[in-house]
Amino acid sequence: MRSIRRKCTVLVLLFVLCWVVYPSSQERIIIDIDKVGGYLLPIALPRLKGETVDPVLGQQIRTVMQRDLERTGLFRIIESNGNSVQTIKTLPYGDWSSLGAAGVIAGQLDVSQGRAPLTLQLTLHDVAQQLMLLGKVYQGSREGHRRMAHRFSDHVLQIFTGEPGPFDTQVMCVSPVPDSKATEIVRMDYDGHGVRRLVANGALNLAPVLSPDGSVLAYTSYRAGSPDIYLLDLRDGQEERLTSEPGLALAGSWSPDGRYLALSRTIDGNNDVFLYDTRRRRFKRLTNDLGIDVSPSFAPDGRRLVFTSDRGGSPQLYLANVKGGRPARLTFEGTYNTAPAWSPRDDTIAYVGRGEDRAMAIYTIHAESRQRQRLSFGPRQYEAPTWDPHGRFLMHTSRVGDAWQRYIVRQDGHDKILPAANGLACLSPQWVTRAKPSS
Amino acid sequence: MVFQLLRITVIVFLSTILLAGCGRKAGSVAPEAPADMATSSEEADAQAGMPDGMGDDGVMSEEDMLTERAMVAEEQARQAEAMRQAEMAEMAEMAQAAFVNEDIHFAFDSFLLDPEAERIIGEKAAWLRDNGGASIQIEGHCDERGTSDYNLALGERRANAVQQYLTVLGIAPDRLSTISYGEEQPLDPGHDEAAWSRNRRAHFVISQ
Repeated sequence: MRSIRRKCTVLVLLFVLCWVVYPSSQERIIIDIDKVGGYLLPIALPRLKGETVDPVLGQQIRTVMQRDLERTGLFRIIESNGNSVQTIKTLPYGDWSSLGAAGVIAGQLDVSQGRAPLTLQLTLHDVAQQLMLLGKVYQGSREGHRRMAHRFSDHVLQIFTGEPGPFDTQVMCVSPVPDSKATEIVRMDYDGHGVRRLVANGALNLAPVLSPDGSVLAYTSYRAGSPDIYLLDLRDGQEERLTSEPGLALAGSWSPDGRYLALSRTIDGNNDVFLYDTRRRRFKRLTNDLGIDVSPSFAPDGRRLVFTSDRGGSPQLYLANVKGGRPARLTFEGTYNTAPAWSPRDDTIAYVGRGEDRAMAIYTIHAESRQRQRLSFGPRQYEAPTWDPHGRFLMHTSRVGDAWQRYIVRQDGHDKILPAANGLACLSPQWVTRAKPSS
Repeated sequence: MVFQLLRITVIVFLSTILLAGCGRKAGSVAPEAPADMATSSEEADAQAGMPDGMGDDGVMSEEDMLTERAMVAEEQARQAEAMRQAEMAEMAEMAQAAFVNEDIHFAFDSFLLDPEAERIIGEKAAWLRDNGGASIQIEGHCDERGTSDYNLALGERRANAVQQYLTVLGIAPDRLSTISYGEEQPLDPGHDEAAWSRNRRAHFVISQ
């Protein structure tokens, strides 16, 4: 725990100065991310000024931004390695226009100036309007360069779509230990870099669920002989065993205010959904049914939950109220609908369903209108989807044969494979905001 | 006369010692008995303080033959007993192996016990009755299809279904624990129906 904290602290001598933002981003939405067509906005990403001093670092920074933007399926990066920028504030716009670029990301790299080992300035330009849209200065350690690039990508998406991107984020994963039956809980950047082990104890560890403020990790471990939920405080490394009965206990989701943990728990052979109140340190039973009640996920209002139950004879999604009452069935199509994830921004719920062709797929369904949409196709095995912290993109892990792959998915189903982390598999990902520097 | 009487007494005495020694030895360390016997007869001669053993030769040989025949018979009986015990041990081992290795299988997304499952659980119950000291853990497993959390709950249902049926068959519940591994520990790493059907299982582990 201590070493993780130290590393985090090192990473984050990093601050941002916003020195100019031309027209306000609200007025400049030119791409509606949820209704996109086939047009890819061409963006040039030339060599950074000063990159010759450290060509490898410069290349890495540009590659991070290129991959981020390409994964949205909204941009086409124009190969312009031959061109480098002379000035990052006023570009020769005509040159870029002739290359077909609608936008240019220019930058300046300084690895020697001042106290910070790395100073990175990045700008975004509108070629047609000959305007600088965005400028940022980042200072910090060299190790922080990926994060600086991710943050700028987030801003670029903000400029073009009106909402920030999902790039400066992390995922919690279950990672199988090779040649063993053990799994570890790891945290890493959304694109597989910067892996940190949070739970590694030689046992099976599953279902990591991080609290909204990033301070407490709930997960299930078999290390005491039965699958129990543990609460690991990432601030001080203190751990608490939350359940100890012989049956299954799985964390599902934290309430948006971080006070309640929704979980499923088997007591005397009966599996139900409970809320654990971290303030009063007690459980409240939410369902009482002889069937399986599992995978609770909070709505952003903190008052409703969706969960999986087989009370009707097959696994289906049900809506429940934290105050109690009889759960209402949400899904009626298909005989297998599980692993719901309620969007953090609206009433869209993503889940793994079995379609009319009997193949498993990722679906979304609206909690009120019950409108359903299929987001994936092809013979794959899917695990639970997870939303990015803004609720615009989904991530899921699925596999064909032995090969697990992690995908980033837009709500219209457009998807891109995410890189594997150093050969580490990331199963059951939970997409989270980046760990705070102090944690 | 007196000398002859003494001689007879000595012979009877010796025979008694010999037979007694033989019986004991054959019972304990049979394979080494013939050598021991020779030794003990010599010792007996020496102990009896007989300067002339000529006349005893015929009698001693007869005794040897007798004891040898008894020994062979005992050896055969011992071997038969050992074989019987080995067979029993082997049968017990086979029964235990069958107990541990024969899984109970399920249909997709189901924890219902079909007649074949009930038959196998009946055999498990018989073994548990024969091995009253054993406690077991029933593991519930699923195939890779479907999602992790639901499969963990389904695996638990499978293990519980088997446990309940065993208690119906009269096995004490405190000898039976359950655990679910969901889809986390497949027996067959394949990705086809053959692998999936092998992986949808309740597996038995002897915990003590």
